[in-house]
Amino acid sequence: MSKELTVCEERIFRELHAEVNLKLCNFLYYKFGDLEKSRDFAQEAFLRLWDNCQKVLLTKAKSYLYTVASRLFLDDLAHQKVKLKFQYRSNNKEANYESNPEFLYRQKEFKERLENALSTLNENQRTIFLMSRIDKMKNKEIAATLEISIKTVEKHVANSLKLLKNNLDELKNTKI
Amino acid sequence: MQDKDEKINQWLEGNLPEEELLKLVPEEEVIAYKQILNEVDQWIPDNDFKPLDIEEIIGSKKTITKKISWKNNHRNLFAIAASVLILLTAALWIYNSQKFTTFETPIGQNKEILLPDGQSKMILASGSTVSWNKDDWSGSKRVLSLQGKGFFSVERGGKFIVNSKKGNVEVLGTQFEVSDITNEFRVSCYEGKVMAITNNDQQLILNAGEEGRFIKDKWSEKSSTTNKTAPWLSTQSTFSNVPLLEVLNTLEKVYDLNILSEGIEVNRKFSGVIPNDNQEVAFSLVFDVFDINYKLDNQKLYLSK
Repeated sequence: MSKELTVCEERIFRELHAEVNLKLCNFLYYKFGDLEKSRDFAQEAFLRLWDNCQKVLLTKAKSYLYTVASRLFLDDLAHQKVKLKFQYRSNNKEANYESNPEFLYRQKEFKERLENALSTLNENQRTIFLMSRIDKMKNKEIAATLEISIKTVEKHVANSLKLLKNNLDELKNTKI
Repeated sequence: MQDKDEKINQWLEGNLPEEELLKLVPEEEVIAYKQILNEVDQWIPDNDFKPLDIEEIIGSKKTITKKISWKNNHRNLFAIAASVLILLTAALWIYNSQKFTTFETPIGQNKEILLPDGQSKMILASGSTVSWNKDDWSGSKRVLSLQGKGFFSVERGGKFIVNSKKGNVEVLGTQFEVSDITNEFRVSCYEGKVMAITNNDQQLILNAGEEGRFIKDKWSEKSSTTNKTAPWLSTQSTFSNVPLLEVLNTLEKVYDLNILSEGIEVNRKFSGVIPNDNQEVAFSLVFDVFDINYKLDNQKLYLSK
């Protein structure tokens, strides 16, 4: 009998958990915009994976986590409008170099406008774009995790960028 | 158009130099993209992200995996039973060792410790050890073991017991000091009331301001202490026109000495400040003034004219 590796193996499960837990929480946040619930549902997804470890192939474990967590969120949420807020990474050096108040103000304004623009993107565009930029996931990795084609990922990332730019341009024009 | 998107993607993935992109996309547009990317790249949803609790998940299901292997393989029954037993023993051992808490202080360093009732505190004197079992801190009683010396500030609550080598001290809520060093067992009560019982069942009840010494199998007469707290807790002792005898008593307590004097006039008055953390300086400050010779040998201090 060939013994296929499954996530039932505690060591493998731990490795998977260590690799994915932050990314999964972030993913849920990009998608639904609620930090606390993101944690809860990510945890629940891991719990279900552990419970069903016999039934889930190791190669499918990641996408299983993402799918289950998304569904949990959808079931819970009478879809409200997402309003994303971000923090600057605490190890972010650039932010500390500049203390010119005008620059800081403009940076803050730009950040807010970009956050708003992001929130108007559709769920998939936004989520994939942020997974790529913030979590530094390769397009290939995103495609495998979400079980979509690389082409789709590429399309979403590029489209998001263009839409964000247009959205910001529009704001600029209406302002003047 | 299709081509442009593809180039943008390649550029995003880091597979196309910017100059190449600029051949297809106006510079203004590229700058706008870079502005967006630079901003987003600095972001993170939550700087204080704490990893999800994996132990909660793993712990939820140990038993189920066991059951499956059981069914599949009878031959391994013995091995499974043995490993379960080892696992249980290990778990029990870890569980037990987690229940015990021990603190040790190096020489020359006191340590303030919050006790498991969450309110009472102790200060462990240098070179001493305290330990307790979490099970001994259930509502009605609070028990700990002390080797050496400690000052306790106990909040009201269940019976508070300090076990030490020569005896036990019981209290309800109070401040007191237990010192079980060398051949002397000393208990000083600074607040409230304490009861000390030695291993040979000799009891002594102390009220605030009293201290008892247990030397050579019996309690000597209770003496009074004017200190508000254990003298070794403060970094210096101040005397103002007090008999030398009192200064010697303080030195004994601060540095855990047995002072043996010969032909010394102990009623002479002393005024001054002596450090509680520097034995040599303290000795020279007191004894040089009175022109007393001193010799230290194994915590015994011999004084002579």
